[in-house]
Amino acid sequence: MSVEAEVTTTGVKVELPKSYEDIKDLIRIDRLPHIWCPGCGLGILLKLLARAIKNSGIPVEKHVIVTGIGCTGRLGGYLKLDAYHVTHGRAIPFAVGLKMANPELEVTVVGGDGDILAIGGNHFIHAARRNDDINVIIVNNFIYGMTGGQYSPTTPKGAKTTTSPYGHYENPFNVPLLAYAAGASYVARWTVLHQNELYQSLLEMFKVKGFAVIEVLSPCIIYTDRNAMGDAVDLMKILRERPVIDHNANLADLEIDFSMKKIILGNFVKRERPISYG
Amino acid sequence: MQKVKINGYCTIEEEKRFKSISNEKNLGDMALVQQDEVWSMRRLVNLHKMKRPIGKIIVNIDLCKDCRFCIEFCPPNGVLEESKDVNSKGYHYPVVKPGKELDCVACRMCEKVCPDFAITVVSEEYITYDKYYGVSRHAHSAELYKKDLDKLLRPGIHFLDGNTAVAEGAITAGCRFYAGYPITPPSNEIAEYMSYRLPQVGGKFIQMEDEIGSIMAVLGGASAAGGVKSMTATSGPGFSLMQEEIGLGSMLEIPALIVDVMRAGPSTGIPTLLGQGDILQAKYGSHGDYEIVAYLPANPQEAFDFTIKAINMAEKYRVVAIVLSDQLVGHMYGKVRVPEFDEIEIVERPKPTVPPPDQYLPYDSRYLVPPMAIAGTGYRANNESLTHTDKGYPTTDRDASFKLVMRLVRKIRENEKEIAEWEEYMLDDAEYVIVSYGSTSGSVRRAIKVLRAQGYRVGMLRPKTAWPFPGWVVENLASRGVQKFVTVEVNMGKMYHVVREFSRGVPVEHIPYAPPGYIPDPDYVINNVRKVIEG
Repeated sequence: MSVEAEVTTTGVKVELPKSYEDIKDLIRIDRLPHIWCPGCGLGILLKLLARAIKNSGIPVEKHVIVTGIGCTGRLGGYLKLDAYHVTHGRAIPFAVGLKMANPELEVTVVGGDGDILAIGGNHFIHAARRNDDINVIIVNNFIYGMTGGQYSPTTPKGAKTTTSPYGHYENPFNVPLLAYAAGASYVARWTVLHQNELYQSLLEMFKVKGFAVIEVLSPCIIYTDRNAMGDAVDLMKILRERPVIDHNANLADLEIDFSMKKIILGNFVKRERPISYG
Repeated sequence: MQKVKINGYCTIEEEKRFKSISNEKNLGDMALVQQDEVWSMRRLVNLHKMKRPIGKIIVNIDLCKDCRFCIEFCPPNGVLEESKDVNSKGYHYPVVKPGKELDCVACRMCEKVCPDFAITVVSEEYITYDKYYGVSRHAHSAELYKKDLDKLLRPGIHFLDGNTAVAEGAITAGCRFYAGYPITPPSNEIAEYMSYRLPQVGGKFIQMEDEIGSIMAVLGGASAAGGVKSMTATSGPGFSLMQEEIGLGSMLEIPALIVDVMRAGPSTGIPTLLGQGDILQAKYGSHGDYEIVAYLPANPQEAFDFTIKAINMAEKYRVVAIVLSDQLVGHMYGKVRVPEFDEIEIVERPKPTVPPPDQYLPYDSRYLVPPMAIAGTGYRANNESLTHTDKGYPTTDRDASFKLVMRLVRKIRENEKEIAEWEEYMLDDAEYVIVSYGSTSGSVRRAIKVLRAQGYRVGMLRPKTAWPFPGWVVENLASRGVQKFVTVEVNMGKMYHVVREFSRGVPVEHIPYAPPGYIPDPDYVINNVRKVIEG
């Protein structure tokens, strides 16, 4: 059944399943298995993103992935594309430079909630304000996973993390509202489980002229461990049962609290704004 | 017989008619989807004719990490279960439950939800995404930025200030992208001038939200579009913010130019007055081992020339190049001679010679300076800020780390004699050598003339490149019998330490500037050097 068999950097002989034949030239097979924990949603996003890039109608040579630091920052390294793994939080300005110097490129930034919204928060809002023609995928797992579970800008109030052992005091970002208010042209939120919707949203993102943001909710065992929520699969079940798809939802209602009783998904914003150049 | 329109949808009226016909014929739902019936509407499912695929779940055991997503999210809920065995990493993997082999409908949910590429579902019918969606629509475009010689500064004599000379030098050298953040002293001249000039020559200007954003945009711009030469300009505080990204540029080996118009520090200091305190930071500011090239212009002519040279060195060695100008040089007006264009040497970065993408190694250690693939040209290189292998994959391997870091430093250290430049002023018979650079060297030059007239045998060594530092020149002077080195710079002793490193035991003294932010005037230098000489 294998289409490709390579001995990987970890010494495991990997045969990529046949169903990935369409994206086999986009995945660095020799690097599998990837570094992410059991139950991480990033592998799912990786597959979807590869498929979306393949079918975006834009040559793969024109796609560039820029990632910062963190678990999500490693995603670019598994995609066989022009990928830049840069410093913490600075993926967006790097991408802005790429896009300005060559507007033909389709530049996609993939980053976590900490990378893009905390240390890179300033770059995020300013790129949205300018409406730079780049795509940003924020993988929101509600925590700093790679460093072992500190609170991030999207950690809900009350959640326990290593730096909020008595429960988190602060309010989280409402990411779609933030992106909209800062000026993004396209704002959507999906989970890694809503694969068809997320896939369509990714395709749409490549077509959008302007700053496109997709928030992808992803399970993380670091988050569930700290909060006695079971395994990643239990968080995944929540992401299956609770979400309501409402494309016309009031953006102010999109905050996700600790109970996760209300998770609203959808393609919330698509509007035309002048982009910063070109 | 007309064609059956499979994907049509029917209105409510049509559906009523549809049902009445089926009732008349008394055939039930099933007969309505006979092949010869003509319905341009939604068809009911003929369970006798519709094939249900039987899926075969194949698990790549070694990739599984036992997240149990596939077991939980199997819609018939129960085709898969955890194995009793474990894989090579100790994880239980999914297996098909005994007796449920035919229950899989090939919905592929397990495959989709698997984060680890471990599951594949095979069925008879197969649709690839390729067939659904169109082919690529973009054709490869021509190079974006072509040199427009008419728009460049004409050869001949010009009267420019140092900051404008830097900007014009950069444009002459091919810089077509500027990203910066306003800061005194360079913002008024370099940034504003570039925002005016770059669009004229087909370049682009952006004002970013901070200096970190600026340098990142520069590194990004330098990676794209046929290798646009890119630059930023800043001063002390902004330069400090950029330090991490200088390390990034060194690791990714992206040619970029930073112009640091030094001002008085520390911290915000005196923004409008000069300092020379960034000399060591330029080389040692970022963590880890790397090498940069830094030039020290002393007048507008050198600001013009050294900017071209710095961009050339950045391109040649794929390093971050820095022009360490200072406030006085930046605001100093002077004569700038622009040579004929064919006299100006312009260097382009090494380009890959192998066809894309698989033979190309982004960090090929067979080269000292590996060829650089430009984003968007099909090489699909992984540019990695972690310690990486030749292929650009992150690694913790001892040899790979050694090989990489050795190469990053060797490419400058092995070529330092070619890169380094310096001026020797009245050094032939000098017993006392004043080491000075930048705007300060003007005062020293005047002081030396006066001191020579008074009978003191003094001379000046003026490094034109701070890094690599021409240490062998200092060594030669020391072994030739120089009695003392004296450093004159607008700081509390920075190049002093560098000179001491090479002085072979010959005493080195530092003359500190008196008021912060002010250039030591010739009288001050004369008095203090005389004190040093006379003890």
